[in-house]
Amino acid sequence: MRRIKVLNEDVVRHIAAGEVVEHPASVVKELVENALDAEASRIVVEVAHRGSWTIRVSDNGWGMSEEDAPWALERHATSKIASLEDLRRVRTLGFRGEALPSIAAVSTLELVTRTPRAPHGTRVLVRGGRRQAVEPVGCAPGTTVTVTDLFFNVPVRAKHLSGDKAEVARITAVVTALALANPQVAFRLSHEGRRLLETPGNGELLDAVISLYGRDTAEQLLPVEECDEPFRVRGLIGRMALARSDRSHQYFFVNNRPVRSRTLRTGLEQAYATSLPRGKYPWAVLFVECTPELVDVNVHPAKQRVRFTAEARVRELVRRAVERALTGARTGWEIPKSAVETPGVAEKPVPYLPAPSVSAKGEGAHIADLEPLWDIAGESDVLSRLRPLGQLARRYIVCEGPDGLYLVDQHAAHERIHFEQLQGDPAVQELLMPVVVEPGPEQLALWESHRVALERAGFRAEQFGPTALALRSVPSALGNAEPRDAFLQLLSRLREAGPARTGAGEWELVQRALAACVAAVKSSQPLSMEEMRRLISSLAATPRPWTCPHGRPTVLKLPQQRIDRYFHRS
Amino acid sequence: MKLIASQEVLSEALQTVSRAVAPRTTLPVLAGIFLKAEEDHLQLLASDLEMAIRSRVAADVERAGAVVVPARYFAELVKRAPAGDIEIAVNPDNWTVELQWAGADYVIHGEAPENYPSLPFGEDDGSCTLEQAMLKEMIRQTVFAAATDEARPVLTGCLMRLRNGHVEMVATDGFRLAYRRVPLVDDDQGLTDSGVVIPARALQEVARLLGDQGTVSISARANQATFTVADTKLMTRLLEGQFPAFEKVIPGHYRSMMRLDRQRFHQGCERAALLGRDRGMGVRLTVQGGTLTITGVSSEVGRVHEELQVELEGEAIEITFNPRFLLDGLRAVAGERVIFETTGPFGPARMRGEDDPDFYYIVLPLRAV
Ligand SMILES: Nc1ncnc2c1ncn2[C@@H]1O[C@H](COP(=O)(O)OP(=O)(O)O)[C@@H](O)[C@H]1O
Ligand SMILES: [Mg+2]
Repeated sequence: MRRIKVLNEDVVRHIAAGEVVEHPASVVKELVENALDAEASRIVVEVAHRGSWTIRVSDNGWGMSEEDAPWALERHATSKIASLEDLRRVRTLGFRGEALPSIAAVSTLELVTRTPRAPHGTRVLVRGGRRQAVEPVGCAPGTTVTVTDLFFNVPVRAKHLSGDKAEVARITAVVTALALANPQVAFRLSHEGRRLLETPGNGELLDAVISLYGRDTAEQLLPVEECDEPFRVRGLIGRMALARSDRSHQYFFVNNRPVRSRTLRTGLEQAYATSLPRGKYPWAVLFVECTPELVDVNVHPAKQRVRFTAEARVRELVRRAVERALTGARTGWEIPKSAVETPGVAEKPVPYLPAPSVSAKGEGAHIADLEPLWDIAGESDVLSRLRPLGQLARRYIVCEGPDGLYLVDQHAAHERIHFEQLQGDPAVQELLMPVVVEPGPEQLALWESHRVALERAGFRAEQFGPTALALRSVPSALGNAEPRDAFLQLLSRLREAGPARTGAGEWELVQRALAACVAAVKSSQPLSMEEMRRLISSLAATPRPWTCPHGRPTVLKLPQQRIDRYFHRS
Repeated sequence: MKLIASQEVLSEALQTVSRAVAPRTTLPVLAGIFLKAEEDHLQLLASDLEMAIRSRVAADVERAGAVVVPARYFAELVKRAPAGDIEIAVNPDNWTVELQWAGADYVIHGEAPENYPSLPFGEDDGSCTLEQAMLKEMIRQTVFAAATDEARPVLTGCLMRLRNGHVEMVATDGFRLAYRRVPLVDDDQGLTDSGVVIPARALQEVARLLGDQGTVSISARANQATFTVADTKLMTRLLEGQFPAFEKVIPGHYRSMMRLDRQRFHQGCERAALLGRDRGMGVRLTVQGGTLTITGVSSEVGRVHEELQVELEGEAIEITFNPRFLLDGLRAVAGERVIFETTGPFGPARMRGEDDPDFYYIVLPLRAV
């Protein structure tokens, strides 16, 4: 009997439509999800880039019959749902019946598939959406989809693809997430024959993490488990030591589907709130489970965003679960239950000087329209005449200066100063013993692509086993900041900066990212008056003190005149 | 609970234990100090769950009992009270604490003692004993080299272990390493050969408890260590994880060795560091024959050039350091003259006092341009 059927129009209208094939990584995602839906226990992903992309995903799932195989490539043809009712209860990763035809429309797609009971398999070949062949072949049970010449008929998209290495990093990120979501499946990803990641598929999340991130990381993990029926949350979270400067190591799954969710993220981060410094994000792999009716997966075509029927409840559940895991780990000592609940003798922490709230309307309007100083020409010696008065919100230095009040953005100032210092080749601090870093599969790929420039910047590293690097030196500008942290931060800044460049462009990218890292390390600290003075005089000594290397202003002036006018003293 | 104690004694004990009060906490009761009156004394205890300090003072106890008082208010109030006797009475119905002295009467809201975590101080564990002054010096000479960054927790503490009748203490942040050992006064299995890693913060607090006379006993167990100084005990959680096998990175032999006056070396480096301070510049040491030249260059500010007389054995030296790491070492090393040994321009260097076999400092150079 045929299992794959074309959805009726009514259902199609209810499915959030959209382009699913934007990058090689989205192709990988769709193909791997299909393999997972087919209950494969082993999935092999091979990618290569030689002029154009070749992507092959093989699985040992239940395959397709001779009759079904050609239908898999029809639009809105799926075996996963049939009615609107099904859409509400969907538990599979796919259900739109769009992925294979969309991919086949912009590539050459070969589908080779066989069900375990069939005597032979079927091969379907489609190029640019046109069927070229359907024929019997000999093959093992399961499915192999090979995509070649990706985007051959969409030259614009092919051109907009960022560099080879950046794409590989993105693919790695996709497979990592799916591998974490499915520890019962053995994954293997290789790029041009080189193995990028591999998981054992023994059903243990921790073993999957070890194979992707390494043992040191695994040692810093705490199990999480909590439920508030019908919602359950479980998974692993990192101790403080694993906190990263971006969120690329936060994985959330809802009913095993990788998702992005503010609700879950907020719940997680609230639990860490008091213990992590600003700009640090916890490491986490969290699974939320509930009956499919309570979550809407149909919001976004790439199926990454979800909505819960009870957002606040889920957030609270996550927060509580994480907080409990963290407290349990921190306090080996016995704490009476009563203590956790008593409001008791706690004294309120002294608040930092709050930032003044300047509303755009009404009274505040007088001071709302401040001009950044870099607009004011011909005041080059202003900086050397500033007298620091104090620090605002640990972020700005408040100064008295010629004709008014000045605010210096600490971070931007540090960034400018260090950017100038890093011109030429920066001084490099040797390390007493190599620092082992487990950056995770995606960042490892990124390191490799920028290896030479990173080395020039001072981060000398070597591959150290399949998941780790051994760092041997760091840029001296970092002072005694933790090398691993700074290195990971640099990688994540490079990641944000987007496509990998080469040559001079790449070097500048690395320099800018490094300056930002150094600034981040230094500007999170409270400053003494002496340090404020020194920071401003160093800024004054740079050739372009008014902006940071990213173009943000460093100084803001509030003219005396305006202050006077505001207080009706003019 | 009801008792009378002396203001001076009580205030001092409160200041001592207050150091362990949690400044910000998810467990509100930890912003308090746990008081317990029994027999002839009052016990005081504070903790932030990483560290706990317990002390005791003599008191006339009329009624035994316990209570948790808000640390800040209680300690400040007692500190500002006039010298003499203070009477403290607790109403166990609502946990209000009444303080009285001549003509004054204050009431503070306390909390039920059951809410306070019970902290095991390892009373019966074996311990080893050191001179207070020696432990204090040992902490001073090593703790600065511990990492301040939480990213590698085990490096934010000092390794403390037993070796050949000595206690050794080692700290490193991966850029430099400080080592010191002191002889044991007495050993009853308080420490082991493999040792424990004690948080730097706790050691700094231990140092505050230490005086110039008397001994301190140390006992490290499973996941905590306790330091006992007279009537005060400081307990700290240990850092988990493997302390790096530091001996492996300590060079066995050196290509050059110079001896020179410590103070002049220190001052020279300090001056040289001054100009490049804001620019992350290194300080360069060049030794040829009997002369050490210290240079520091900053294109904007100017140039430093200073010469010192040294005794050099082995090859000429040319090496650059982050001035901070160099100065930290020079501050830690004791004695009038220092020995400075190098293994080449990019390899580790060692610094130690000329007549002090018990301390050394290893520092890694800059690969300057
Ligand atoms: N690896 C596979 N193993 C078995 N069946 C598959 C596989 N890939 C695709 N199919 C079949 O092809 C259909 C269409 O796939 P697809 O276009 O991705 O749509 P969807 O996954 O949304 O149903 C699926 O419903 C499924 O029946
Ligand atoms: Mg699909």
